Amino acid sequence: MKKQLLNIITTTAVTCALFISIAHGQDINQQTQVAPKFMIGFTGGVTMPMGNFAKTDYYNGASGFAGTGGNFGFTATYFIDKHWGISELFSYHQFNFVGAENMALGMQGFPDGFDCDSVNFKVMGNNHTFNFLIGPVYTTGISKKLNLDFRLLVGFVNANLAGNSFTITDGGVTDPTFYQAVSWANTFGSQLGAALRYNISKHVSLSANVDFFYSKPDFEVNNINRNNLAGREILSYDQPVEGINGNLTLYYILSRK
Amino acid sequence: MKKSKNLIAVAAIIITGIYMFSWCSCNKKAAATPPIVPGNEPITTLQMIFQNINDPSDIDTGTWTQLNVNGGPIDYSKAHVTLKTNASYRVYVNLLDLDFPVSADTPYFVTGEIQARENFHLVCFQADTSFYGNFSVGTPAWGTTLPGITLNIYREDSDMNTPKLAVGLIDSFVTSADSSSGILDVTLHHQPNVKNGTCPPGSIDIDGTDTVYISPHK
Repeated sequence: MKKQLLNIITTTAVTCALFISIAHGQDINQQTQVAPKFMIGFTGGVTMPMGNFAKTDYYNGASGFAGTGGNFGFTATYFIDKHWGISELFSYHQFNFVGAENMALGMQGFPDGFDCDSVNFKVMGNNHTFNFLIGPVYTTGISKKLNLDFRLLVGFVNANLAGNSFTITDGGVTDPTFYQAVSWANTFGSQLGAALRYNISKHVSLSANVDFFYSKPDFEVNNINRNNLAGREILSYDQPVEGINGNLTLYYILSRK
Repeated sequence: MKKSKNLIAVAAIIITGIYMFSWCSCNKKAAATPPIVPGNEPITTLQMIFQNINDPSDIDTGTWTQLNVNGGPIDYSKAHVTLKTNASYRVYVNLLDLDFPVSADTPYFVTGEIQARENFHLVCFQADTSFYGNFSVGTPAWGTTLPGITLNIYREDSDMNTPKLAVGLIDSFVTSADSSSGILDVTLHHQPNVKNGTCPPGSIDIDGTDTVYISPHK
């Protein structure tokens, strides 16, 4: 897992470094670039959750068991002038589930479990968010083909919390499975980030973004077939869904005349 | 030259994108704890202490022991008690593990562990009339008695479930006016997430017996 993450980060860094070096190599002593009027792009990359949402502690009810995942989305930016614009982003974030072993062992053990012979744990659905965000963007040219963009987006977030199921076996008897249902909630969210945007041609540019995202959905969790007060059982989850996105965005640009 | 650079850039984007998405693709995890040999709490001994509520000097203890929890000889030599007719007894059910005593003269009491796990444990009682007759056991609700039953048993303790459910480690045994004798079958049920107040769900931690004599003279 960590090795894969390192590979992703390395690949992204090398790609960005490549474009930046090409840009600088080409742009030295060249004239100022043409300001874009409107640009639309497709973005995708790695999503790394932080905080309680990323914790995998069975004994901590705030643990979200969210691991590194991915995101993709569509973005559009309209520039009011040379530096300022308004940007929107419609994106999907998905987080892998991590810590399944902790859940199974915790539920099997005692005192916070059922003290049984074995537990079969399965994840239902996944942790993900749909985001529709809008906000200001500021751009400044570093060289003819390289721009530095900053943006602060706020808006609507639809969040889903993965469910799970447990099947307990004890003394040779397997008891009926019980569930934590998949939950969802709507809330406000925000995203703050910076990007290096390289103009490949007059109409195409590639951007390497790093964004911090934050939302705080208040999930009501429905538990099915939970009969006894034992084991990990959450009735609600209101921890921040936050983390860092490392993305590449491919833009199509309409420039000012 | 410019065209080839653009092609290289687009190719890099696509390759990086595919790599990221293939790594980030949906990953549903499942886990199962390593199954161990099916078993339950190691309990070798069922001890029941009977104390007459109206006569504290009237105390009797029945002890059922099977040292090999996987099957083996059972020591019935102390597994019998005598109760008075028309009497109420407070009964304490103790569970011990004699295979792993605390010290040479101190047995290990499993009762505390069962109390801590009370939300998914239940002690059940039933009559085994295969050797004796005229002996019957019932576990009616509080404040009621079952007609024709020679031994009414009321579980006094309850767990933390909602609603609260009986546990059975502390009980009241109420004898009838009739003399009788029989075998009382006592089982401790392990009911993880299936405890509902009845005996059938789950597995059995221990199944012991006490021979009970109910007599006007003791």
